[in-house]
Amino acid sequence: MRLRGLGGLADEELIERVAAGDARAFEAVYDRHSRAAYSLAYRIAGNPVVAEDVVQEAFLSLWRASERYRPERGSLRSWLLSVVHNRAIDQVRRSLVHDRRRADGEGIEERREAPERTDVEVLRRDEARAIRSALDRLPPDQVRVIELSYFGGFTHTQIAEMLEMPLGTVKGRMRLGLEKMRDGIEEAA
Amino acid sequence: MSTREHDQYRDNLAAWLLGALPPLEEELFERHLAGCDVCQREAARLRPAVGALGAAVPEVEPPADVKANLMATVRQEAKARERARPARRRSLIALRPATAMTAVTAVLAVGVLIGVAAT
Repeated sequence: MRLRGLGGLADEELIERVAAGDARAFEAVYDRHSRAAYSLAYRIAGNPVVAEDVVQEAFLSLWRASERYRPERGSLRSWLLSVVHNRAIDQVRRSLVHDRRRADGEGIEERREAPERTDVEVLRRDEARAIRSALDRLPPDQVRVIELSYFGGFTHTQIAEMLEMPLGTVKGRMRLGLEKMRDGIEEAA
Repeated sequence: MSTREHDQYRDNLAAWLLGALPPLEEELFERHLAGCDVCQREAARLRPAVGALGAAVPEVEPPADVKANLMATVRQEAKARERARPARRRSLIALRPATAMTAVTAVLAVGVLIGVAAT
């Protein structure tokens, strides 16, 4: 089968082929999800070299142990993004990058915008826009603690110190922010 | 566990989902979560919001050499797996006639023994 054909298969079918050692199926998975994976890694690490390492490690772990992904627990993209998130945060916490980088996305301006290619990609971009708009609707103080933790890799105690606020307030804002995000996504769905 | 104790763990749920608990607190929370249906349901309810955060970042095209390096490793490993596969098949095929011969010999031997016993 040609790669074009594989690109039309659902993730579940592709992952079965990946488990059987099909490199072309793996390539189709990479083509489909690498931009989202790299974008998240880059957003967290703020450093292209670290982001590249994180993406390579995440996809290699999928290739070598695809059984770790359980379709019944969610989509392949969500699973890949959680692997990327964990690895990127580990890298950031281990390195000095943590002190130098900013949690507000500075440095993204030199990014190369990805071209929109297929209907599936357009749909995914629409979905990402809907999620961003759900995030935009949150009060800034909730966005701040969520961004510092999820993208910045800071613990709640570090955030409380940085923002000079009680730990309970940080936890409360995290919780309220996630609640509102969830409601916003549900409305958009 | 008292309600107060449970509420203290529950307060950490969002931070845990965001990966913002320090290691010790994370371990304690996960121990609590394993045995708490209320927190498990709450985590399942809020998890999509956290998952969505990862998909909300502006898209950036990964450099082409990331794919090139990755695919070089993957193709190499795929070939190695492929090479390992026919070898196993060959050994199975090689085993089959031998297994058949053993079975035939065994049947003949049993037949001879039965024949000897009958006479």
